[in-house]
Amino acid sequence: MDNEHREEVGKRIKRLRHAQDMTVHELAKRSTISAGYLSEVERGLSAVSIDKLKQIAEGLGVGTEALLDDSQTDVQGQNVVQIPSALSAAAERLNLSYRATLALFQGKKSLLAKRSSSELAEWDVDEWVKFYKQVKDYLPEC
Amino acid sequence: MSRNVKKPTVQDLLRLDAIAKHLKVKTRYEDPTFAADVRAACLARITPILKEHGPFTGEDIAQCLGDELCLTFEEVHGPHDVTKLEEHYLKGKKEIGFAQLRGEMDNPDVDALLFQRMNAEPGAPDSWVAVLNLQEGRAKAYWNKFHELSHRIAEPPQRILPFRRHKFEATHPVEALVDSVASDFAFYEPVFRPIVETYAKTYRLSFETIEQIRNAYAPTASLLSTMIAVVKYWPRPAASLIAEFRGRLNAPETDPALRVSPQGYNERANRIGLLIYPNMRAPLGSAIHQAYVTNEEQNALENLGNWETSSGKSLAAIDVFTSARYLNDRVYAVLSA
Repeated sequence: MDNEHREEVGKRIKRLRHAQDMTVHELAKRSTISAGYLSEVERGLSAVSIDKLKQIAEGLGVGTEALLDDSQTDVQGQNVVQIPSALSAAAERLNLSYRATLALFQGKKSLLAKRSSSELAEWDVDEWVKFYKQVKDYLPEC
Repeated sequence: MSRNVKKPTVQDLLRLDAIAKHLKVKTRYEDPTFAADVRAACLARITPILKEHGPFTGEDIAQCLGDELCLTFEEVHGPHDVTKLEEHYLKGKKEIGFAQLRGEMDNPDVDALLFQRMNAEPGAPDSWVAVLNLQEGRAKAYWNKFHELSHRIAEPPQRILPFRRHKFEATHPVEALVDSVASDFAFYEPVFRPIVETYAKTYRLSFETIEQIRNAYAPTASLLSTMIAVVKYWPRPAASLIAEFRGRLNAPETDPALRVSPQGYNERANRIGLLIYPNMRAPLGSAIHQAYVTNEEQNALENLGNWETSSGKSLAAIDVFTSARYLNDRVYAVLSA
């Protein structure tokens, strides 16, 4: 990591820390690193290993990519598919293949946005089962 | 962004960064010019498209941008429309996300849904489908179209794991930014300003004039959004407000009166001090008060010096023409010098 990149990473860490009203000490504690080291990293004075970067990212509650290069992360700082536990339980109950489970997940997520004054709630197992029954005829062959 | 916008969370900041990157905006959210830079970048994207197809009405602009962005608008006026959309997208195109449509449309709190089709061919005109819930009326339809279009223009294309916009909040930093972009598109200055200026040559700023401008530019736009946009481009000092019967800001049960919420004013109004403070009482003799009492439209020549704050301070003594319209237990008003 060159100096310029090191400084950029440091700035990102500081910015995301400020967004959560966290002090250097609080983030250092959450990341299990010393406050002095974190302060140096934020100012671009110390190199940071990928392991330490992971710890800091965890402390901030974001993916490592969010600190490295925002071109490689999606807007939530995640780039892996995480099947919700309620869907996993529903899939087990319905004996669904992984492909069918993924299709259900992506089908629900294809409703990207809702303009509403009411909250979006996570589905429980029964709601996933109900959704499956509504759409089973239109799922890809599994 | 004039509203009290909440402090962004980490996820909001990352999303705002993604918007900046997508639009090649160099500034960050913390920079004072960020919102203006984003708006300018969005306008720069749509200007060539609109230049190629213009001139336009507001509805034409929505249609043209929708075509360009592969976004189709669907309207739901009743259960039969939901059935039609289920037939078309769920059964016809095997878009299983549309199985959620009926439940969502049954909820009167839901104004609009945005789907990204899973099985669309690249470049299909309905790759994105915005469903507008118009069962409770059409008032928000025009604005919601531009809000969804603005999300599509300002934000990067979705990836495997798309985000959801949670509850819509006008004070949410991303939503407030997108609303400001939407205001530029919904009342597109190169087309809208000349219309306003033409009417201003002949007419005073009244609700009759606002309605004429609305009919000329975007008949489906709401009165509120048109009022705010007309005031912005009115070639003389102008301000808009809404008055409601309520108490003090910090003690809502105390001192109930017809109190105002400023909605906007133009640069010229700012220059001469035609400004009204939030939650001031509308004077008893004012056209605004008369409109509230009679439930009828009122127009009058008045002097702002009659407006007093609770501490006894008067507004600048400016002669204004006031037009006030009673609507749904509120009074909409425009003041122009």
